[in-house]
Amino acid sequence: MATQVIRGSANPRAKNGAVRIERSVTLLYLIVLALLVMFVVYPTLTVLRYPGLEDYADMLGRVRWQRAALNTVVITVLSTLSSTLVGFAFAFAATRRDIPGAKIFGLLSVLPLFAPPFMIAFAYILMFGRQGLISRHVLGLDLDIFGWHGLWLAQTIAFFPLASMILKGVLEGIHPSAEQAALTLGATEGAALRTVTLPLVMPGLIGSMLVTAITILADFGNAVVIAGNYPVLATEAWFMMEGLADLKGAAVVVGLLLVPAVSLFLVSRSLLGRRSYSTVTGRGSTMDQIKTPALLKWSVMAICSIVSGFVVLLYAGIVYAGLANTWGTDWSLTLRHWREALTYSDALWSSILIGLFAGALTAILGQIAAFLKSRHLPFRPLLDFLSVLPGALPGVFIGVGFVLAFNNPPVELAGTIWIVVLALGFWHLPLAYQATSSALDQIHRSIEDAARDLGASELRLVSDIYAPLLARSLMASFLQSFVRSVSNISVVVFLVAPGNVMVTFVILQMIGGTDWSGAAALTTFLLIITFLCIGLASLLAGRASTQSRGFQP
Amino acid sequence: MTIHAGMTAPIAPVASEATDAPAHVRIVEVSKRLGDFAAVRNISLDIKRGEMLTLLGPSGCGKSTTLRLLAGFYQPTEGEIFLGDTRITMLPPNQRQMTMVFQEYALFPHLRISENVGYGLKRRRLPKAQAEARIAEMLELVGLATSGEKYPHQLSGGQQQRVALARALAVDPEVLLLDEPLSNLDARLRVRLREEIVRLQKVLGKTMVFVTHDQEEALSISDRIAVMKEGRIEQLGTPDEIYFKPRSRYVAEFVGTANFLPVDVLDAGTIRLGSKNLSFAAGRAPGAATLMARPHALKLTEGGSPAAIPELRGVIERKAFHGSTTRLWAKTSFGDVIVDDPNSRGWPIGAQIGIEIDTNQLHVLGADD
Repeated sequence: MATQVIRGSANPRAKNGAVRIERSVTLLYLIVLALLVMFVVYPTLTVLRYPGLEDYADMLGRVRWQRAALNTVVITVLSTLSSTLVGFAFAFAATRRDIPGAKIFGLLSVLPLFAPPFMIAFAYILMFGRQGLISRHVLGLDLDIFGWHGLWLAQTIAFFPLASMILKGVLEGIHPSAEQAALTLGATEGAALRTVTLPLVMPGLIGSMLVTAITILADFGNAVVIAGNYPVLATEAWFMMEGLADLKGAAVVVGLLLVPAVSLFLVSRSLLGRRSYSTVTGRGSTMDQIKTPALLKWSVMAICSIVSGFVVLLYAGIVYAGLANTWGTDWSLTLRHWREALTYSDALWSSILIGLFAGALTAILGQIAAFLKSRHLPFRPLLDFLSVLPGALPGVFIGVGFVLAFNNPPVELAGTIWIVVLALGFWHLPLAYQATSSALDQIHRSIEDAARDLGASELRLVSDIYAPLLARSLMASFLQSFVRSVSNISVVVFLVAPGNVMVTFVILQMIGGTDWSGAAALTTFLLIITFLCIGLASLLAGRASTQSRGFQP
Repeated sequence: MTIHAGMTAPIAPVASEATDAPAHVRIVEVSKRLGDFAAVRNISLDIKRGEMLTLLGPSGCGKSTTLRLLAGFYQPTEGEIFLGDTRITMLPPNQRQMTMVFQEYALFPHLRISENVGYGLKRRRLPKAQAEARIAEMLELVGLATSGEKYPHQLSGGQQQRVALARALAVDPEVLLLDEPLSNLDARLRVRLREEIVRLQKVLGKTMVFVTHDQEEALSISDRIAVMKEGRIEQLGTPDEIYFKPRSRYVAEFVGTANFLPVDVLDAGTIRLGSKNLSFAAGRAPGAATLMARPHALKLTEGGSPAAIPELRGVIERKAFHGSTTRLWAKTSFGDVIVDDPNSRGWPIGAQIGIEIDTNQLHVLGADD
């Protein structure tokens, strides 16, 4: 640094070598920290402090809680293993040149990501339950899919895309020359995959399992629909509040759920953070991939085909159920349920409004936080920690936390859409923060140095350099947060009030009241909104990226 | 797959020097299409036992594809490849007895250095004691005897590439393939490691095929060089032949700087450059041709010197100090001429000069080469 040319006020370093921070940046930093403390730290501590020690002790002794805890462990392990297996198959198919169908498998493997969290379980019941179109009316079976096995299957379908996304990145990080080298040294294709590829994938595989496990542990939507008499921790808190109005019990349940959630989160971060074995020298050409052994190739294709077929069936089931006259008896088509669903326009409107606000909050705050992280600010690890922490918190925890923290003065938000906006906006913050951080990492330091050299102030960098270059990640973060907010149920069930009823809550009640057609019609609407937004956003993102290349002032 | 006469009939040696020894590796009329792209077009090449043969060319010329065809990662669209008398055209890489050193090292990051070197031995189920002795021997050979317990990421780039060499040589392959092995190293290290590779090649007498786009590297290490262009071998020859007797402007310019001057071949012993006749055996039929002169084959003189070529009189426009020589650009009626002057102090910019030619270092190309 000693040789750095000092040039006017644009130089980030003062004479003594210490970094000088502009006042506006410091102010922004303080505001962001204050917001994070207010809406992440405060609700978290409120939940943990609300019950007394004796309440925790009491809960640990309850048979019902112990059963739910054991069930949760079992189903989390089962679903994590199966999601990872299926996710690996899809990731493998996507990254191997000699496995056909990469495009179609790729498309079908992201579909469940856009499904509302309860949809897979609901669609599964529609197609394979007692009145199931396939099980009863095509195959003539009388299946009971409620319980652990139904939940297992629903979670596998719902969460394999997550594992697949992570593992795809891991597989792409392995340079094909490692496998080629093994081959020239005398290894068969099978031996090369076993002795080179598999060990290289292992850290990523374990990391992906931990991330998937966190999500499954906190899965409320599928459990509430299909678990039946198989209590799990994610739904226990809601049953306590709904059925027993036991707020303390709910706080204890979600508080205890935090222990495994945060532990998994911390381990996964240290594992995936360690860059592991990914090759540094770029990706190499897929032309250089070695041949996939036939047995493996066909197994992978079989898994992908079966699961893809299932995904298609489930989506088709939802759409058809919204259009069929009476599910189970009259299969003729009608728009009756769609018309009836439109009478819930208030709920639809709230959902969209909440989604827009929460999405904007997530995207903007995430962008700012990521930018601040890249500055030389004191206590940066604190900012980083608080920005990723919500990712470790189960939705039900956030729900209970906001109920306890903002139902009373000084900040009373209960019954407004704002309590939902803030809860969802802050809960989804890590999505935007991490996406923007990695996008920032790719902007070469020299671009910023060049701008500063030409006289840009630190904040000016944001508007002139970062905002245009990061438009894509901003758009992606907004979209992701919007979609997840609109289709959220785990947080929403705790915050719902006459002033902010969202579609997902209405659907949940309809499923409970066996108004399947209505639930399916509204779910279809949610899907339409979701896919419209994705289409729009990818259109915008495409344009934004061409603009940033051309750099128009 | 077409059956070639070449499978039974002896293939005429392509090498510029006639040789009695049978080829170690023979590439016979091989073509390879990658999608719509004809990466390799009808190449024939005999590689001698124990020679260091370099495939040299710019990116996209087909040199790496040729190496991958040898390794067995690609199968030829047409043609055959032989190792000794064995046809290996369709043989998978793990049965070819050819190992490879990669540009990006391709060490197994999860294995220790000794395990990396021992990987091929393990695949061949060598007894443990023998394998250990072999690993120690190989690490000794590349000067990393004490690093066996380390992991690849604990070594520098140069050390990693030595390990990759040891790993590839440990199984005593018939042929060692090197795919731009030095391109990821910094300049100083590159020179050191290439000398080491040449040393190993001579000590072990190993047949090696070396792919590079760096002409200096190719000239300094090779027994023979195949200069490639658009999927074909443009010229095959010793470094000396490639440098001083290039077959075309393409080769001449790829392996170094060259001046091209229009000449007329008058008879077997005379060429005419401008208004001056030079006695020089062009080895070409009389007619228009191109004279290739390296910058060090030209000598600057006073503008009025009688030995100078009248049409090459001119003015120094630009100069660049290269240490042992100075490169000068002179504007003449034949265009810009580049001269390397060993006398680094002389000739200021703007000086009126003449140019003499050392006929021992000239080479004549056809007008269209």
